[in-house]
Parts: sequence; C-alpha cells; structure tokens
Amino acid sequence: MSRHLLEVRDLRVHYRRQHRKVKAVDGISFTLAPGETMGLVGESGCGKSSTVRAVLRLLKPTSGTITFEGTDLTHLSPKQLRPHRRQIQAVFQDPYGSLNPRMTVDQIISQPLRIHGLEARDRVDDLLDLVGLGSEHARRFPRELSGGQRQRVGIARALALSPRLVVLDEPVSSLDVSIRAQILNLLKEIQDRLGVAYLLVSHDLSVVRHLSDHVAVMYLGRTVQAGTRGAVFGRSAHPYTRSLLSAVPTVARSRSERIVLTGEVPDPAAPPPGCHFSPRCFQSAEACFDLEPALANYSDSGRCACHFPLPAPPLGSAGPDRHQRTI
Amino acid sequence: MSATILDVSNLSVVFGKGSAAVPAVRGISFAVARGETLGIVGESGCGKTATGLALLGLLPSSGRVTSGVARLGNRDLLAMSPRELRGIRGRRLAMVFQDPATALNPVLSIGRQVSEAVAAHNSELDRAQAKKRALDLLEAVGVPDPAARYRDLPHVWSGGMRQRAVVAMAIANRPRLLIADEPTTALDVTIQAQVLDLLRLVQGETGAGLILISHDFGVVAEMSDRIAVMYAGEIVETGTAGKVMETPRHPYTAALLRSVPDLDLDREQLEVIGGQPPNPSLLPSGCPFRPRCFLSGGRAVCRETAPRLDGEKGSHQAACHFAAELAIR
Repeated sequence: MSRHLLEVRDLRVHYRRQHRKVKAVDGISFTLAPGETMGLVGESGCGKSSTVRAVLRLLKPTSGTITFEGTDLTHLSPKQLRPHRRQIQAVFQDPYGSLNPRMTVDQIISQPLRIHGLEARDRVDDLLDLVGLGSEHARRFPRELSGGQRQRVGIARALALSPRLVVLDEPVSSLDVSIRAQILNLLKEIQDRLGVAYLLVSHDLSVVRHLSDHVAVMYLGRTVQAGTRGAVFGRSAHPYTRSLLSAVPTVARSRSERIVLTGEVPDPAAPPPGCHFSPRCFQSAEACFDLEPALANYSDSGRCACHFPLPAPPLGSAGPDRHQRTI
Repeated sequence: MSATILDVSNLSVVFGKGSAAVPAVRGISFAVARGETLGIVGESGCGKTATGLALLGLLPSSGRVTSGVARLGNRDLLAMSPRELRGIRGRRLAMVFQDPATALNPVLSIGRQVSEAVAAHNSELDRAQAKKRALDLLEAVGVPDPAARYRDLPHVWSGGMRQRAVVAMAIANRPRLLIADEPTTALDVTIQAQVLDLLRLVQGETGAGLILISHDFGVVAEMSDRIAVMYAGEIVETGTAGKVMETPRHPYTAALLRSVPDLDLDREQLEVIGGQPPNPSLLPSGCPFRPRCFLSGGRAVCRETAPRLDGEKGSHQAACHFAAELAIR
C-alpha cells in the first residue's frame, strides 16, 4: 500500500473526431497525498477536464493507471467501482446546472446517502452547518438560493459520504468576486477540519495558487511544469507558465511586464512536432521544433519540460522585459 | 481640458412595471473623453450591463430609462427615436459584447457579417468595396490571411479570433465611442491578453472613447484611465485609476480589492465581504452597502441617510459618510 491517496500514471485519453485522433490527455502523471490539494491549471483544450473526468471514471481512459487507495480503478466494472465512488466526490463549476431544480436542498444533499443506503436524518443539518448554511435552507429549492449558497449546497452534497477525495472542477468560476472569496475560504476550512484531499481544476492561476499544495501546469495534453506551489509560482521555469502568469491582469502589476503570446493553442488533433509549445514560445530554438522535452527537475521540488528552463525572475518582476523577448 | 465625447447625467433604468418594478440603475452620472478608457466595475446585478444597454438603446422590452440625459456630441442618446438610434449605432457608437459565439450569426460567413457592418452606414459603397473594407478591417484586428478565411462560418474560428471579428465590426465606421461589456470574460488568459492589447491598439488608432464594463478588477485596473465602481445601481466611487486602486475611499472598493486572490502574495485567508449584494427591489435604508460594511459599525447616519458622491469631481469621489476614516486606515 502506497502512502499516496491517488496516483495517476501515464494517463492517456484519446478521442476520435472526424476520423482524426485527438490526444486530449497525452501521458499525465501525478500523485496526491491524503489531505492535500493538487491543482491542475491550463487553458481550454489542455486536457485538465478530461484528466479529472477520467479520475471520476466519467470516461474510460485510453491507457495508463489511476490508483486510488491502492486499487487500480481503470479496469473496474461499474459494480466494482461503486464502493470506491463513495470516496471520490465532485463539486462542479455551475451551481445552476449541477443541482436538480425539482429537488429541495434536503433531497439534494441526502441523495448520495440514500443511494448508498445510509442514514440521512441528522446528517443533512450537520452538512448544512459545515458549509455555513442554516437548517432553514433544507426545505428550499435551488432557485430560491443565490449562486454562492447553491455552491455551498454542491459542496455539502459532495461531502455527504465523507469522501477522502473531492474533485473541484472550476469551483468558483461562475461566482461573483466577493462570493468567490467566501467559497475559497470555506473550502480551506473544510480541508483543515476534515482532512479531505482536493483535486482542483481551474483556469484561474490565482485560485490554484490560493488552494493548492502541488501544482501541474498543462498544455495540449501534457504537463509542462509541476511541483510544489512554491516551486512553480516561485520560479516559472517553463516559458508557458511564465507567460500564463504574466498574462493575468492584476491590480498590482503594470502592463509593461506582460508577455503577450502570439497565436493560439494549436489544434490538439494536429499538435506541432517537438515541444508542443514551440510555435508560440518566445525563446524557442531549433531543438525545440524536433525534440520533445521530457519533464526534468529544475529544483528539489519542481520539474519542467523545457530544453531551456528559465531562471527565477528577479524579485518584483513578473517576467523578462517586453523588449528583450523577441529572440 | 480633454474633449468630452459622452456626458451622462442622472441615468436611471427600471425593469418591470408597477409594484414589481426593480430599479437597476439609480441616477448615475459619468463622462468619457476622447481617447479615454472608463472602466465600470461591479458584481452581477449592480447595473453595469444595464447602463451599457441603455446608452445603446438595446434594453430588453421589460426595461426602460426613467430619467437621465446622455449627450454624445450635442445629441441626447436617451431621447432619440429607434430610427435615429439606428443611424448612430455602429457609426458613432459601437458595442463589443461578451460572448463572440452568440454575438455573431452562426449561419452567415464572418466576412459577410463584417462587410454588412461596413455597408449599413456606407450606402455609397458597392459590394466589392465593402468587401475590400471588411478585409482591411480583419487584417487590422490581426486575423491572419483574412482573404482565405473570409467565407468561413463563425464556428470554424476560435473564440479569440471570433472576438477579433466582433471588434472589427465595432470599429468598422470609426465610432467615437466603444462600449465593451465583459469583452474577454469568455476567453482564456493568454487570448484575453491579446484582445485587450487589440482594444488598446484600435483605440489608439481611432481615438475613440472606451467604456469597459467588467467584473474583473484586474482587467479594469490594467486598461482604464478612470474607474467607476458600481454597487446596487449606483456609482459608489469614481476617480482616476491610480487613486481608486491605491487609495480607495469607499469600503466596498477597498474590500473588493482585498478579496481577490493575488498571484504575487500568499494569504492563508482571503478577506471576505460578508453576505451578498442586496436585492435591488429590497434595498436597505440609507447606504445600500451598510449591511455588509466593515466601516459603518452600526452608526445611525449610515442607516438614515444615503450618502452622495463627494470629493473632487474628475479626480476622486466616493459615496460614503466616513470616506475620511478609510483614508487613514
């Protein structure tokens, strides 16, 4: 038995689209320890959603293994999966679409308990309390709740079965700024109290930074940089990570520090040869277009898939000067 | 003194009728100068989108303007007939919407839609000339090889490219004022950076005023010369971007700035604005932000009197009885 709660090894998810193979996830590996948070970050089409859908077994991976508490989930039948599903729950992005409008909050939260044949009576009140709602909310319908309250209901439902792992798929993306902070704080408190592990997916780097212990930056189905939060955010060694970080408009930073990438994420059905990021990279050299870089350590706790990993930026700067980047 | 393009005073918008009427915008005033970017920031339901739609005469049928004057040049947008507005919209005043997937007609080629935007206000151009202009515009907004992609349907293009096409349509007639409502919210961050750069570029070239409406303080901070923060249908703070962000004088602005997770800062807990924005039809007495305010401390004046925008006009104003206390903190 390993000390990991979740271990994903060389996961591949391939789709067929109009007779072309799309490698949505192309060899992703990571581990997650109990009570910790792993954040997957990247833009549309990077494979982060396919990865968590595979972990939830909402889709069957093409190859690779997903080991949860020592059991490989990839080849289990639906019936064999069932006891494990109790331990892996999910909170979805849209609290409007993910709650059944015809069910009361009480029914929504107790449904997983009933499905697994467990006593629901007192549990619902406890769960409502845990997520900062009152027992008076139990009889309400989702339409009577605000977006933030709905997301709290979604979190309560995910926690109903006392899972060891909760998948958070863009948990605050559809919420207002002031409500976002409330939910992020709540998720942290719950983790401190219950010791649940989170697998977080977000396109929002600041959310990932706020919640995660470990981070993997994904691009076109591959991990381009991974490590502890400190390692990844302290030294954005991969040019993609660095440009992603610098592209986020923030209140504190001036726009002159920004790296604006040219072009767009290529079609995943026809990824560029060599390093997938090479056509958009501000420092690509000849080798980059032929040879796929492997993940290699750039520090004790950080790995990066780049032939020319970047040094740590000087303090107070988000990236290389704009005028120096046209290499 | 810079030339004012748009001067809005006392704009109010109401949705619904009679006892079900909901005030969405409550007597706001602002101005935009030539080449200037005004960022309007706030959360859902604060009235920022209704403000933009009212100026364009595009409010849904349940909404109506109940007071106000909006001068574009020497004419009042709010007093125009639909026909007069049609003559101005797309020519003097243009809009970039949030979602390029729904702003474009899915069954017409992108080229045709851009050339229509050109032809609508230039009846002297024939088809070939309008097409030529459309190609120039697509080129100008950074669409690679527009001639080869002219006949593409919108779904073939990526979100970022579609938003470029929408921007091309908006600037087709070199409008004096652009209104962009969440122009990059539907886009990935690296593409967002490209589109923001593009908006700055076209603004620099056309000298248009820009009203940028967003919930994202980062986007607004980066783009704006001046900022207006809206809450419950009112502008609660406005001023130059530097002043509003560095020395906010309204507790809502201050709290909003602190509740955003920061990429350059590790914080165990985010500062939270308790509760949620008020229901616009059940506003609390006095200051609408009072129930969520960390500064009020239950003081009577906050409960009894709605604060008005106070301070140096054009430089920095806030609607808070105790703005001075915030400055000291």
